[in-house]
Amino acid sequence: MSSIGTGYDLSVTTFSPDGRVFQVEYATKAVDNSGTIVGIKCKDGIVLGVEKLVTSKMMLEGSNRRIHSVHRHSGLAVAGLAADGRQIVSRAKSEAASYEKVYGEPISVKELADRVASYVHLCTLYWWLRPFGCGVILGGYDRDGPQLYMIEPSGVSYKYFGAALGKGRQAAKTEIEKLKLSELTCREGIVEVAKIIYGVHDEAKDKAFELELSWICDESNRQHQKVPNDLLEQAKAAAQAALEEMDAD
Amino acid sequence: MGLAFHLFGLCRPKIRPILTQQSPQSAGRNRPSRTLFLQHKKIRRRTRLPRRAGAAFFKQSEPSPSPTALRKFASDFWDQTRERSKQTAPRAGRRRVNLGAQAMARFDPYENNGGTCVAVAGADYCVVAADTRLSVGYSILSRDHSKIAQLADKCVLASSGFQGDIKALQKNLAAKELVYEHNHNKKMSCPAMAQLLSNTLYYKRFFPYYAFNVLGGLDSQGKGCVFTYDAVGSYERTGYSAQGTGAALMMPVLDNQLKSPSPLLLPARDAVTPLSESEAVDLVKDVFASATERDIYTGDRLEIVVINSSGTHREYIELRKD
Amino acid sequence: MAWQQAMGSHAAGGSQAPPAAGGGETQRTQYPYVTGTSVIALKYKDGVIMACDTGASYGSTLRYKSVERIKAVGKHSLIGASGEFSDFQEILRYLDELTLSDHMWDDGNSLGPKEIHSYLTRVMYNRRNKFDPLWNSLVLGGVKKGPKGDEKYLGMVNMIGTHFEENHVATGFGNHLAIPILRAEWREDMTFEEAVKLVEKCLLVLLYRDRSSINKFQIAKITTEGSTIYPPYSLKTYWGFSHFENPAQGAVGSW
Repeated sequence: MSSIGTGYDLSVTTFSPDGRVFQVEYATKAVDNSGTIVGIKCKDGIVLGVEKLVTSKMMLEGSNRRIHSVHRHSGLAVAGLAADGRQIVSRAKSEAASYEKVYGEPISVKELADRVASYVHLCTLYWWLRPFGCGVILGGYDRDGPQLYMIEPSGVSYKYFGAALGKGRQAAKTEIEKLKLSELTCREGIVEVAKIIYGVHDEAKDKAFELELSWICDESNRQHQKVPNDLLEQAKAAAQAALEEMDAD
Repeated sequence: MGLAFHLFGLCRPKIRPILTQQSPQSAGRNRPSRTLFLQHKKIRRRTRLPRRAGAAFFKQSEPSPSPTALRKFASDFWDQTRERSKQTAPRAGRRRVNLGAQAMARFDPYENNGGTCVAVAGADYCVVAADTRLSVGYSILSRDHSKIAQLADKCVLASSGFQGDIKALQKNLAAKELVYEHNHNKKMSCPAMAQLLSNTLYYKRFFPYYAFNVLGGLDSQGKGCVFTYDAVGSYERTGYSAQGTGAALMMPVLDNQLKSPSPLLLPARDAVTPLSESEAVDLVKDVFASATERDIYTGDRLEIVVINSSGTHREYIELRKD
Repeated sequence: MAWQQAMGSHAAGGSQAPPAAGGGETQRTQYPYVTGTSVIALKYKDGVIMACDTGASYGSTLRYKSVERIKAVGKHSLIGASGEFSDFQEILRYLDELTLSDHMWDDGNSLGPKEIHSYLTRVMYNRRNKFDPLWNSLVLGGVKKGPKGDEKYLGMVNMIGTHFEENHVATGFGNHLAIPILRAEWREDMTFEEAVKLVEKCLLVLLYRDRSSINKFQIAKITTEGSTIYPPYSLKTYWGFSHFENPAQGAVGSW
């Protein structure tokens, strides 16, 4: 933390002498401490998965969702500060709605990702704003098929086959790389994502978590939806089984 | 001015003094230029004025009428035309304005969906009733549409008039009653609701709710009460009342049967009727059956709500359907 | 909501409607331009059936001959419209926005026909209050599972906000010509085939007597299975009735 005390980390509008914007890097740290989120592009669609850390046993199951629909055909998973994430979600929703109002067709995933990224980036340009303490994975389905984007607090957005954010991102990315994404269907994909989330979950540090899964594929009518409950339970069971098998070895 | 002009109505002396300040003799002198003529044509199209009226106006305001003046003229013209066409029967949502050959539909925000509301108060009860017919013009839209809203446990409102306004008004009052309940931890009394209804109607004094209301219920002593209104909120507590399309047929019968003490008497007497509850209900059924014979907007079904110390009770009887 | 925003810009003389030349006034709909004629709908055993022709007139000119005036709204409803066609398309945009936000909740709940109808009544009434009406009569039908099993719903709302529920409804000319037939022949437990027959009878009467009606009809149904809008088709007409050939016959004193 060479930046501390130098004064270059107080504003998002001031570069450090070696060309860094420390506020943005701190924002990234907020993302790195969050529960893991994973997104993969399968051959027939997108699967998003979130390890939602449950901070209290009294919390209602299914509340404080971290995966949101932003249009009929696209969804967004949030890592980092959930409240900041909601701002991004609401912006994404209004961008998607306004595009459709003007052009009469749903916004393309690329355009949506670009617009959301611009919005996130905007918050790194003014001294009176704080960058978003969250990163998002945006999945969607348009005429060019399923697509996956990841947007970071700096405002960069890249297109991915598979992406991960949060605590377990490194391990998750390694696992995603092992998958044959071009052959994987979404039905198989949800099991894989569940396995990854269960695999990277660190039981020593965080006790409880809830698995959130959503998908966009032919089976969901090319609409972004929560994965149906029966499939979610199957995926959970498969992940649990895989975990126990691994422990047994 | 030749005879031909009068015959073909190109320049009717009767109209000219109204629309222009100019005498017919001077009409030819200040001829409008070609460009102005075009402008006049364009404006006429935009504001949809009949050819003759627009031309007359155009000649009056030389050299060139301002757009604002034109608009003002257009709107005044419509107002006049509208006044003139008041005699024609209103149709659903629009009014046909006859302008020689040109007939045009214009927006009318009101319609009368008809129906009659009655309330009768007794010593310890109140009967509120209304028919369930919903009409417009000579058409019946629905034979089973309730005009009665239960606003609190001892407070029932029956309204006739324009259905859109009625629903808006009743929803508005129900919402305010709920807020009152939350703020004061009790239901609103009928006299309180009566005042609220008056305020709510008067608030829209210059774009009124086209609703004719009768409010019935029990007051804080448990005595029956009836409040009767006009569309802009003036109201009176009475012992019985009728409102709506059949009111003129029912009110004299109610006056005759209920023999309410004269309001001129001093000290003031109680307005509640001497009838028992079941007698009052029977009377209400009779006046509705009678009004249904002669009022085309009243009929189909009668909804009766009786409010007494044990709560509210609702019953229906069938009326003539023709 | 979009319609409120649209209203806001009206009040401010914003970009929605260009301000009239000279003053800061705005134009409001004074009369309809392109209009669709009657829509008829009725409840039957499994749900609601709705029908109309595919024409839209500009005054007395038949301007469009193949437009859809019945659309699906969400999963449980159908909307049918007569009156100004552009206003109907605007209403469809409002409904699209409504169902989109409903979809995005993804919470297992969805707006039923009752809710959509209620929403429409508020939109129509609020616009008339602003003296800027949407010039339509709308029919809304649907079925949704409720606590007491499948609940059929059929309602209507007009341009000034008058609204009601009924077992069978018809807009415009249909109110005069189709309703008497429906009142005489409608039953709660009609099969789909019977309902289609009844609807076709009404459409045929309208075709004969409503000059803006055309012989290209669409029928749609909504049941718990969802909505189906059938492709347009024509009805067989017979113009050889003696009263069509000699309309003055028996009319004493006419020519």
